[in-house]
Amino acid sequence: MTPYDSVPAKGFWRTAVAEPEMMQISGLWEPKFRILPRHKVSTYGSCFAQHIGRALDARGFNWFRAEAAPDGLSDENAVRFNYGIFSARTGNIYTTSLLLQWVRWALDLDTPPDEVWERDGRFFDPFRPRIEPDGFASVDELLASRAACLAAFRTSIIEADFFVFTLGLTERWLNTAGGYEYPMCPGTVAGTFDESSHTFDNMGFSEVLAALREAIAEMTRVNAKLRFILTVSPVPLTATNSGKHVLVATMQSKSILRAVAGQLADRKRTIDYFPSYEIISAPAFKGSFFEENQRSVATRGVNFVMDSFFRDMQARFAEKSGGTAVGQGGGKAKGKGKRSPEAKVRRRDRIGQAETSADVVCEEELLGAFGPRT
Amino acid sequence: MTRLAIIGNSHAAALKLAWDAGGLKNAVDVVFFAAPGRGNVRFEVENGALVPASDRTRESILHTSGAAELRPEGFDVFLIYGLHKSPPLDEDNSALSDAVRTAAVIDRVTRQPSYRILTQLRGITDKPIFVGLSPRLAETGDAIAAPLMAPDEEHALLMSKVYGPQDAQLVPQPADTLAAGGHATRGEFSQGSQRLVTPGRALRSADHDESDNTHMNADYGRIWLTAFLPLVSGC
Repeated sequence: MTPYDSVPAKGFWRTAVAEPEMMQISGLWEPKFRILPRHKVSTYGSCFAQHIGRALDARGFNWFRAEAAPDGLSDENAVRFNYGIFSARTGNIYTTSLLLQWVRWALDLDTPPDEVWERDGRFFDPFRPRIEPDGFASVDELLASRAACLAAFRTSIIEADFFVFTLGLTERWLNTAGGYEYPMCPGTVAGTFDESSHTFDNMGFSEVLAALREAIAEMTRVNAKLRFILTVSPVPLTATNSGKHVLVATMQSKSILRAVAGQLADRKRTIDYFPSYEIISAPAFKGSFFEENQRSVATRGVNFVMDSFFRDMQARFAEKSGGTAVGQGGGKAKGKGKRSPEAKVRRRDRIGQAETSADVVCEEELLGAFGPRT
Repeated sequence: MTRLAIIGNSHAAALKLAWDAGGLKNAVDVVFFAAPGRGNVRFEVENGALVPASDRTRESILHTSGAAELRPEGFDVFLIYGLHKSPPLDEDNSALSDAVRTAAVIDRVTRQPSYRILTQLRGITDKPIFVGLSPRLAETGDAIAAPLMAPDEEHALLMSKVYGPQDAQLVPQPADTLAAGGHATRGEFSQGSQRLVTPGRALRSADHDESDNTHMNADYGRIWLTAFLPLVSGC
């Protein structure tokens, strides 16, 4: 007798991966927490994180929108102005250190710097460079908007039951003198790159871990009931400034992020890890969830990920309750965010009209415009 | 005599009550094409006429106008009234950018049945078309949060971007019905408001609930028509 005699089928590659049909591979996640429709779920992170909020919404869960679009704004304009992308209009938060920066600003532990970018008489927020597609009319307007965002971000921490964060990158750009972080390299979306003012950094495991640990600690300090679900974006890097081949840089980055997420989830009872990264990227799925560019996640991949999320939660908790555990739809949104027209129970995450996930708001993809032309 | 067609929903009840009460000096002959609701008041364009697109609308239009469809050649001027969702009073828009405010003001009207009907009607007639949006919500005693835009600024924007291009005239809500800097309707005008009745009954029925601050009464209708009718006399 060895311990392996009692390992279930899921613990063996042959029975869990090699023998089943690809789309029958299941049970990758045993959720720690039961999310009920009444629970407020805040979502932030990299581009891939946008799918999570929408999927929650579509299935009748309470995706917490602490910064809602004004009443009557069309869906098209809401997306254009970055409403309903994350729980507040932060834009993408790619790194754990950027998350920590947002958390510290929102909880008044630090003050955002005065830096503002100007172009053709319009003003751009260095920390949300695409939040207004044509920039702000004035610095005052920019600062008022950012203040409202920080207030909403704070609310989305304090009032939430769950905080879902998708880790995206280890590479980052910093203001050399101030030490603060930009979501994008200055000059790519807006602003001007200045090598004397801007520093590239590629975080290692310990830095990524420390930043995320501190961010979670600060959030828990103001909301002791908050539970965290970490995911890692399966989307490869658009570009790398590391000097390495982008494929190698991607694997290094994702490996670090995956290790950080896994370690925290293994060691902290208030943190769980959902394996969206494995579902999309693992060789067992043969890259079938990527589009032709082998980078963008196709809609069918997003759907498979989110189906897995809800199915595994159903499997885990329906056994205990004897009934259904996942939202049946029509759960009422609570909190400051208003439910959009899409919040009725329909499968908005199943985008039937297109096979691409081109509707994802992704600043990092803009880096592709700076590459060499074929 | 100017022949005026009023296309509207439940908000038209206030105008109808005021009209029936008499005393409005005018040389206008009015026909109401009204049906309750907002999203379900729908028309299609067929053979140069506006034809109700649902049984409910059809029944109501037949009841209020005596006609199964609206043929523009039968009228000299048109008013599209109501058929629009009034903006909330409790929404704090103070931190919004000008760009978002502008987009929201425009979206709030162009995504409503009022605008859809305007484009349909403009497609079948060159005659004057006026638009009267649903009244602003009546004040409730609670503080009113920061609205999107000052009323005059909003009116100018909508005329420039929405109604002007359709060669239509947006009729502002009369100033003496307004409160809170023009962002709400004075509370007394929502008291005693009455429903637009279903077919088979006179266009007067039970009062709206006391808590209803969206519909206005006959006094409001009288003030509104008093301000409006001189615009169409002679059309």
